[in-house]
Amino acid sequence: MTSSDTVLRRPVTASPRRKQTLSRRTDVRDGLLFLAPFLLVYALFLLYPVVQSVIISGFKWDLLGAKPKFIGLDNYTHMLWGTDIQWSPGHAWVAQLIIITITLLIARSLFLRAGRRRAGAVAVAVVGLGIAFVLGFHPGPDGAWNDANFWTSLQNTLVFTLVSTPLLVGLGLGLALLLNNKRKAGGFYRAIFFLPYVLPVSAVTLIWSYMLNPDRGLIAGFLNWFGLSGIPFLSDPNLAMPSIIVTTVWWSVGFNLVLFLAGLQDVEPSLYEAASLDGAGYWKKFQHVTIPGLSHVFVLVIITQVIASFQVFGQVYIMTKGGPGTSTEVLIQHIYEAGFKNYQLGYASALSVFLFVVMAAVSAIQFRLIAKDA
Amino acid sequence: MRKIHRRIALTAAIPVITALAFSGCSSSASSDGSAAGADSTDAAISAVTDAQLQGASISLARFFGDCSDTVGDSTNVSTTVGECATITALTNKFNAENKWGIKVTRLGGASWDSYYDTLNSAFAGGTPPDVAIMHGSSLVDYASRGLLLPTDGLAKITDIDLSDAVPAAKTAIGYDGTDYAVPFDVHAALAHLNVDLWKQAGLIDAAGNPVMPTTADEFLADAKTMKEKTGKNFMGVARSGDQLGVHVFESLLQQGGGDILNADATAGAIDSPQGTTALDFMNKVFAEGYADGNQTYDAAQQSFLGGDTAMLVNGTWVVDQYRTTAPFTYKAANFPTLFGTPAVWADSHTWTIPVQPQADPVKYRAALEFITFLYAHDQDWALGTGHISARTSVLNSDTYKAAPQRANYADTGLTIARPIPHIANWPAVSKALVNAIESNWFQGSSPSDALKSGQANITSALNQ
Repeated sequence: MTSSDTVLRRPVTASPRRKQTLSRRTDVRDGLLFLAPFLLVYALFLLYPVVQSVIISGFKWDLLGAKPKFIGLDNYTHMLWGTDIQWSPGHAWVAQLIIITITLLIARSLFLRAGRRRAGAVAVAVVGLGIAFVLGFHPGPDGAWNDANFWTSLQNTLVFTLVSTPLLVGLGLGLALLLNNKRKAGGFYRAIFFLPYVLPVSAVTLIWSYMLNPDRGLIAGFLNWFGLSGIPFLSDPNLAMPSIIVTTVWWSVGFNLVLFLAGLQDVEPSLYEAASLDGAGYWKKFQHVTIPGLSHVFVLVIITQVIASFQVFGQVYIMTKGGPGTSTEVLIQHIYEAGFKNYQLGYASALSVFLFVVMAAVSAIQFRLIAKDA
Repeated sequence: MRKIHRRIALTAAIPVITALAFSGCSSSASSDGSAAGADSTDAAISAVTDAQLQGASISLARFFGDCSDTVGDSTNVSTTVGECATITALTNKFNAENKWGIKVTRLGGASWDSYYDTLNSAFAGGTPPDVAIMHGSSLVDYASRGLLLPTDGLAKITDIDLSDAVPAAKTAIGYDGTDYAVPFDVHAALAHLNVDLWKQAGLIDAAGNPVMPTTADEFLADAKTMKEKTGKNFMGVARSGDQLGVHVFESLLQQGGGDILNADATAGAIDSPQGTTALDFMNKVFAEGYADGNQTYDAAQQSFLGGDTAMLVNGTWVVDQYRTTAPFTYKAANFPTLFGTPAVWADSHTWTIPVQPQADPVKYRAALEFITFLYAHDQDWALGTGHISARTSVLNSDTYKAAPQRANYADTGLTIARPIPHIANWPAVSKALVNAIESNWFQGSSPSDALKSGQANITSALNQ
C-alpha cells in the first residue's frame, strides 16, 4: 500500500475535524517545501549576516589583523555619546517643535479613528516625544561627540530621505497618471521614463556630473548663452544635496512609475463609471476612486522607497564623496569608511545595526499607519 | 514546562555559541615582524637559487590605472609619459629582460582611492598580492599589523642601497625603526606657473623668470598686482572635492612652525597660532578674489590651462602634461615659502612585499628581484611621470637635471618636502583634518571653531 492510498482512504473514516487538521498539515508541509529554497538563501545571505553583524558590533574587530576583543557595548557608546554631554530642553527647538507638532497631528488623527487605532496613537506619541527628548542632548562648551560625523551623516540621511521620498512617490504617481492611457506614444514615454532605472549608479552619476559641471556642463553651457557663469552645483554646500536628490529622482522614479501604472490598471473601471454617473469630477474620482484603489501600491512604494533612501550611498560617494565639508555625507558612507578605510569592522557593524534598527522601526510604524487600510 | 525551559536554554545558548565561534574563528595575520622571524625569512630568501627562480610567477597590485591597450608589450621606458604608461613599460621590461624568466602579473589597475579597498579585501581574505604599491602615509597601518615583510635584511640580499633614499622617501618606508618597503618617489605640491601672465604683471626678474613671493604680504601684494594688470587670478587650487586646498593649509601651517599633530603624535595640534595664521591667510586670498574657492580639480586645471590663473597649486604628477599641452610658457616651481620655514605637503609611492600565508621563499625572492629592478629604474619613473626621484643620486645626476623642468623643483625632494605624519590610522586623522578646514570654507564655521573642533576630532581619531 502506498502512502497516497492511505491519504486517500483516511478521509472516508476520519471525522470532519480530523480531515481539516490533516489537510492543514499537508498544506503547511507543501508550503514549507515550496518556500525552502528561498528561505535557505534568505537565511544564508540575509539573516546570517544580520546576526553576524550584531555579534561583531560587540567586538573591537580589526579588518586586517588583530584578534577580535569583546568590548560589550563600547562601540555603541562611542557612536552615541561623547565628552561633557548635557541635556537642555530646547537645544534643537526648531526640530523638536516640528517633530512634536507632526507627532501630535498623527496621534490625534489615529485617536479619532476607530478604537483599534488608539494603541497606535499612543505608540506614535511615545516615539515622537522620545525623539524630541533625545534631540535635547548636546555637547557642553568643552565637550564633543565621540563621533561627530555619525550625527552629521545621520542628519544628512534623514534630510535625503524626507525630501526624496515624497518627490519619488509624488512624481511616480503623477507620471503614471499622465501615461495611464492607450495613446500610441504611451509605450514610448513609459520606456523613456523607465530607462534611467536600468543604468548602474556609476553611469547615472557620470551623466549628472557632466551635466552639472560648472565649466563644461550642459547647464553651464545653457547659462553661458545668456552671459551667465556656471553654477558650482556640487561644490556649493547648499546645492550639493539638492543636486544628488535630483539625480536620484531622475534615476529611480521610473520604477515607482511602473508600480503605480500597474496599480492604476487594476482599479475597476466600473467604479469610475459609477462615480461619473454620480456626477464626480476628475478630482473627486482621483480622491475617492484612484487613491483608495492604489492604497496597496502606496504601501509597497512608500516602504521600499524609505528603505532605499536610508541606504543612499553610490550617487553621494561618486558625485561629492560626502562634501563639500560634510554637507552630503550619509550613514552608509560613514559605515563604509569606518569598516574599510579605518579598519574598524566592529564599529562599522554597530553603525549598521543602528541603521537597521532605525529602518525597521520606521518601516514598522509606516506599516502600522498605512498598511492596515490597504 | 521542561519543554519551555529547554527552549529558553537553547535560545540563550545560540548567541553565546555563535559569539564564541566567531571570536574563535577570526583570522589573525601571521606576523613575521619579530627579529628572529625576519632573520629566518631573510635567510630562506637569500638561499633561493637561480634555478629555483626560473619561471617563477608573481602578482602585482597597484593603482595608476590600466593602459595595456596603448602601451602593449613596449619596454621603451624612455618615451613613456605618465604614471600608467611608465609603470606598464617598466613591468614589461622586467618581464622581458630578467634572467630568471620571472613573470609579473598585474592585479587590478584601480584608481588610487579605491585601490586600498581591493587590497584590504585581499589581505582579509588571506590572498595578498606578492608585491603591492603603497603610499608612505598608508604603510604604517599594514606594517604595524605584521602584514609586510621588513626590508632591512632583504635590501642586503639584492644590494638595494637605501642610504641613497632622500629623507622624505626614507621616512615613508619606515615604521618603529624598521624599513618595510623600497621607495619609488616623492610626490608633492608644486607651483605651476603661467610665465606669460607673470610677465604681463611685471612680476619677473631681469632674466624673465617669475619672482616668487617670500612672505604672506608679498603674496597678497603680487596677487593684487596680477589682478589689476591682467584681471586674472593669482592662485588656483582644487578646494572642492579634492584635498589639495587642505594640503596648502598643511604646508603653510608647517612653514610657520606648526604641525598637524603634537610632537609625540598623541593629539591634534592644528588649533595653534600658526594654524589660525595659515587659515586666515588662505581665507583672505579667496575673499579678495585672488583665487576661486569653489574650484574642483578639473575646474582649477582647466582655468590654469585656459590662461586664467597665474599659479596653480597641483602635484608633481602633472608636470609633463602641462609642459606638453599648456598654450603658454609653462614653468614648474617649488611651492612658495611664505612663513619662514620651507615646507610643502608630500607623500611617497613605495613598493612592499606582503607576508604570505604560504611564505614561499621563491615567491618572496622573485618579488624582491622585481622591486630591486624598480628601485634601480627610479630615474625612468621620475622622468616619465614628473614625480621627484626617491634617490639622491638621481636628483643630483646630470640626466635628471637636464630633463625638462625637473631641476626647477628638485629642492622639493631634497629639502622642502614634509611627509604626511607617519602614524597608524592616518585615513581617519586625515578625514578629521579635511572636515575641520572644509567646515570653515563651506559650512560657516569660524576659523577658531573649525580648528578647535578639528583638533578634538583628530585627537579622537588618534585614540580609536
